[in-house]
Amino acid sequence: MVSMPKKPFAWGDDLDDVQINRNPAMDVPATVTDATGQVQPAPDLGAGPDPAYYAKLGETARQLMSNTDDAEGFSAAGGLLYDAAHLAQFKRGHTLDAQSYGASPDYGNYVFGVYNAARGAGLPNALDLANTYGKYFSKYKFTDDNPADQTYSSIPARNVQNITRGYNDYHKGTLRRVP
Amino acid sequence: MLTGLALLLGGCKDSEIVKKEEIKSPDGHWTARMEIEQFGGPGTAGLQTHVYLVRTNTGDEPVEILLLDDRSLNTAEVQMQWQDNRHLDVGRFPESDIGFQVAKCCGDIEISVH
Repeated sequence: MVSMPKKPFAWGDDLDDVQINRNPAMDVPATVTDATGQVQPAPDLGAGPDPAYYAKLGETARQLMSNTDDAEGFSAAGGLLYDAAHLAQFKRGHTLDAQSYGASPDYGNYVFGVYNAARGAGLPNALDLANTYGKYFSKYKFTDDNPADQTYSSIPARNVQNITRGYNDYHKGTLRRVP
Repeated sequence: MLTGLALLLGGCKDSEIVKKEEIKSPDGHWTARMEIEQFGGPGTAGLQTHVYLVRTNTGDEPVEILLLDDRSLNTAEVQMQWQDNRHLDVGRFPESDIGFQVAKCCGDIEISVH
């Protein structure tokens, strides 16, 4: 006799143990720069770490920074350092640079959105950070097929879309699971 | 604050040429050079392929003749072939978008991209 699963599989529903956000619908950001992107699959993962890995790191940073039992603020300070250290690891060739593992650039930007959602950053703040970093350190050559974003003009619109998708997927509980 | 954090994370240009290839014209006067540039950083990942023409052994600045926006390192490759001394043929994967293309350059060098 073949036993059937109790409920059908759906992307992201295996991440209950990862996401501390139990009420994702309340946290869906109002800013959606790519409405069509919400129904697209996550970008090519390659051999990069699973989105859940980035979510866990971000959640740890958030927990440290928002520890209510921390009267002296040591946990919050540690959380800030932890967070900054992990943000630095998104640099090319560092441990959170998904491209280093063979993933696509789109996926690298997607998981940056996941990490920021999990650490409790606002989407505009995450995009501002990417834009500021891009302004000083990336020097893209924008083209008609890969134009700069109108608001975050130092990074391609495609980057903004993928960061937003990762951010929203985290909040909606629809992070892609590796089969 | 964001600028400070970004500067803290940075320090220099966060991109690198991850692959480079050159091929000389049959008469050796011209060199076609391909470079794949990978961008890193927080939310700034990207991949572009550049193809340049440079006059061999003159010290002249390379002239960019093709820019591709790539989705994956696997499909960022281009295949360059000189059909003769005046015609460079560049093959690309269809997944790569052409961002910029020059059909004729440097006097009378013709460039075809497919």
